[in-house]
Amino acid sequence: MERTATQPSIESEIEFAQAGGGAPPELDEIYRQHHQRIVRLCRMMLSDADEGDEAAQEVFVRMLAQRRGGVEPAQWGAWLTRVAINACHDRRRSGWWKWWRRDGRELVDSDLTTHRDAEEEAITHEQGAAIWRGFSALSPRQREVFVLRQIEGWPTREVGAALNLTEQAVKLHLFRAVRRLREILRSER
Amino acid sequence: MNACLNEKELTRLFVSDAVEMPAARAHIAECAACAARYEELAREARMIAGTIASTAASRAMLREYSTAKRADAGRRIERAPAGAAGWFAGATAFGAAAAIAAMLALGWRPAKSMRVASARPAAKTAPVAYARDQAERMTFDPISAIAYDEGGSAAIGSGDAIFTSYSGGDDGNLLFCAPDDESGMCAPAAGNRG
Repeated sequence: MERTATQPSIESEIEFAQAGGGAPPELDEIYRQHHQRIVRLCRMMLSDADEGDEAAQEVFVRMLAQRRGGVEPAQWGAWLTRVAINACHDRRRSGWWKWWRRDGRELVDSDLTTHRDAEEEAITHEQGAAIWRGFSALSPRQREVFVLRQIEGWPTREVGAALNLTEQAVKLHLFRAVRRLREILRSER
Repeated sequence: MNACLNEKELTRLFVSDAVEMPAARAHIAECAACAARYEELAREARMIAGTIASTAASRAMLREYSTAKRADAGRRIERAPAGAAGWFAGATAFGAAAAIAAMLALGWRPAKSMRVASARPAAKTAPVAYARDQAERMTFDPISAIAYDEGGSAAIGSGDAIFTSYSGGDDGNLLFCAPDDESGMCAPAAGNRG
């Protein structure tokens, strides 16, 4: 199949590299609905833009493979989230050494929307940087729990099921993450 | 009415499910100060979550913050106490010892006689000849041994074989003269043999 001269999008990259054909319209719709959320989720889980973007791409490749296999999940959103969590786990396990060879690639503004509400606007640039640094310094488990519980809004039970943790362990990780991040926020004030 | 909740209890309450810690929830319902502190905690948690989410959504912001993180990590390494360097040195030495032990366990043994090649000639009684030999070695320039054919390709002579490592011609193929090959460019008359 010939590649067009236009700038290839992630969709077309996935399409060309993995599927070898056009994605069905309903998958395009699922992609549009969940792409931003999954990319953001992977970036937060891995606290790295490049790694997160690659993990997110893997997620949508798996979505195509799932669709081709003829097995459709009841809810694509939940399925994609779980696959994203697993993809981030796999990537973290296999790619620890990548930390040493991280280079500074060109800054590219994301096509993701960056909505900031009034509360976030109250946070200064320095505070935001400090919070992100503190978040990146949390343990992977604490990051995952914080993201799923506080940002994705999942109930404790579902977070535990997704991460293979007891509910008590989920609360403990969240407790530590919240305390640490609040300490950082307050120290920057 | 129970005593006011400390920060730890407030955070525990925040991460708990709605049906948990009924006594603390009852206290919050009655105590305006604790309710305000709890509301402040929840507001800060929302701010933090929102900041993290919007940072992750912005590639540029992520990059900037991550760069700052690496710079900060570099400063921490610079400030690392001498004990850390000692720890790393010890770990390295231990690793080397473990590697040698593993090699020995796998059957590796050092050779019984290990002769180290020497550049010095055997005849120490001929210092003039030795000096001349060394002078020749030092002035030998491999580039000067490159012979150029008419097409512009260069051949580097090395013992019995001649490799052409660069070709200024159109084809740019790697050429090779076998020891007994005296045809074409490898003919002695072509001047490609050293």
